[in-house]
Amino acid sequence: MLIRTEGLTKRYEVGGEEIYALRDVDLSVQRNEYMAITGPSGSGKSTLMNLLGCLDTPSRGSYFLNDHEVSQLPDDRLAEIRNKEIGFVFQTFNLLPRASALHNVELPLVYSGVSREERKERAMQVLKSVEMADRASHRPNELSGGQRQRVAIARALINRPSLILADEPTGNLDSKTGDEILRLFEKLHTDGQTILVVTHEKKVAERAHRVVAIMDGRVASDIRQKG
Amino acid sequence: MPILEGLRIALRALWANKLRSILTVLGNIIAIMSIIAVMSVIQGMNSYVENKVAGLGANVFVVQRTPFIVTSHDDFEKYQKRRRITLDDLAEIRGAVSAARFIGAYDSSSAKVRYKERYVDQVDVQGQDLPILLPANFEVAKGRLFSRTEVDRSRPLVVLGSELADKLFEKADPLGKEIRVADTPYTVIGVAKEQGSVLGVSQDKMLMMPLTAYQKQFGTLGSISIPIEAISKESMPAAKDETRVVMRVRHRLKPNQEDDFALESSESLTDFWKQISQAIFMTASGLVALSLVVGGVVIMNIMLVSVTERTREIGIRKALGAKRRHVLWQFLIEAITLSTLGGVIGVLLGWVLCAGIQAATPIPAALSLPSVVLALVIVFMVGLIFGIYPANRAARLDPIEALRYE
Repeated sequence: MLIRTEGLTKRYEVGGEEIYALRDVDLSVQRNEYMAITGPSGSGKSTLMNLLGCLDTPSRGSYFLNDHEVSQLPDDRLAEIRNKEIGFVFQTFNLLPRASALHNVELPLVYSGVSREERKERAMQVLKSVEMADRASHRPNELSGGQRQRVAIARALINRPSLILADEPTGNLDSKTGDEILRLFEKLHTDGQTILVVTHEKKVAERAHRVVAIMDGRVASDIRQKG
Repeated sequence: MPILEGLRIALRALWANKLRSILTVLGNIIAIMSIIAVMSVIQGMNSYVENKVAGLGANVFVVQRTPFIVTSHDDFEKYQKRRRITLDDLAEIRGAVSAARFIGAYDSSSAKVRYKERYVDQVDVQGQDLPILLPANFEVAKGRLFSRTEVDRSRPLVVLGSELADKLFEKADPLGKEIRVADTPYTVIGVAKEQGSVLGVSQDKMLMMPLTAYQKQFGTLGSISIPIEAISKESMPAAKDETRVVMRVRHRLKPNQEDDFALESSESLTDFWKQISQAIFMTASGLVALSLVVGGVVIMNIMLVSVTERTREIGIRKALGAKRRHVLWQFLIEAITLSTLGGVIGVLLGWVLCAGIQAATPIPAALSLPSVVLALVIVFMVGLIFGIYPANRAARLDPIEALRYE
């Protein structure tokens, strides 16, 4: 089991009032699943993604990643897990604007203490696998939206993470380019990668093999559609 | 994250905001430039005062009525009432001071010197006994110096300073010519080697004659100065003590009375200069410290702006696995690099300033290595101290909030 949560709850206090962004979520994800998390805005899917991505810690409940309880770890341990186990893909790409594609891709390796030569070599390899090797020295503003997202996916892949966590990955792309990105996800999934896509777009969710719908902070439905 | 990686990130960030970076460290640049210039000038002045202003040779001290440095008018009047130092004192010292190698004597005043229709005012007229210890580097360039016998016989002979010789004779040969010093005729037998100027005052607008001849013309009422060269550095104190005893006995001073004469060596002047330079240095340091604090606050301010501008970058880095200390170091290194860069520019400008001072004034202002090292250590510390707060703020940003920042 790659992911297992038990009673995962996130509670905020706003003006003395308690608001539950997420309430008692029990969720299990196997290795090599291709899963979508859907729900309208404000449903709590972003909160769930932040918790699963170890960007945030729950108010209550547990989160086992690779059978390790990670919900109560200190910041620096969470940073390590994000670095080694999770590859993020964002709606707005979140590339460093002043750095080349190559440097953007090798960034996670900087924080895992990999040598410069190895970083360059591995970054080139991953860029090749997303067909962006010829743009390695380009800066983000010299690339199209689809190309930027490919670079971002390469960055997510570089440390061979257990999990790719994509937050509205096609949200800023036209439908043709978005389709290309989704095909890339399918290819990665075929290669054995676990992929978790957070989206409110039906078309995107349909491509996944399992769809978890979140509503008012709870799991409303959990449907396996193929595979 | 290795330091080198942080340095690379820092340089890239600073380069992206070149103008802002330069303006930010203006305080550092000016502060470091000033401290480099002040330290270099003081150091240059130290050796200048020691070698040129004091002008005494090694192991030489002078017995005279008034000290080199008189700081008040009351003191001056007090010194004027002291007993004159005379040729009898000279004879006694010559007989009694065993730690001395050479003992000279001189008196001087200012007079008008004339050759035919040409004249020069306010010439430094020196009556010298042999050997000539002061000026220390005195040498005859042309002709000869008067001899012992000529001194004993008060012969009216003069050796001219190079500037005086040029002014009176232009290109003509002065040797053997008769000149008039305040209307008394003298024969030129030599021209001294050029000595240059000290603090802008030429040392070559002078002439020397035998002390005996001088006293014949100017009278014996003046107090002479007696320069004494000790056998070695070690025998300086002994020579001074012997001289002091001779003078005190001759002036019949009681044990509780203070000296009514001065024994002056280079140290008297250099000590005085050191007091002044220390005061200058302290004042300059205070001002520099103040401007460095202001400079540091500016750096801190800009770093806070930079942290805010790059909130999203920090969020990205954190999402990708940067720990707090990685982010902390990144911004700390950037602040230190910024501050040190300002320091380096300051050192370079200070160096240029020193070169300018050296070219435009007689003050030697050599760039001193310790001042450069000190300056760089200081700006490093400024960057470190004023970088901590912004860097810490960056390190503690919440990754989710930071990623959401527009």
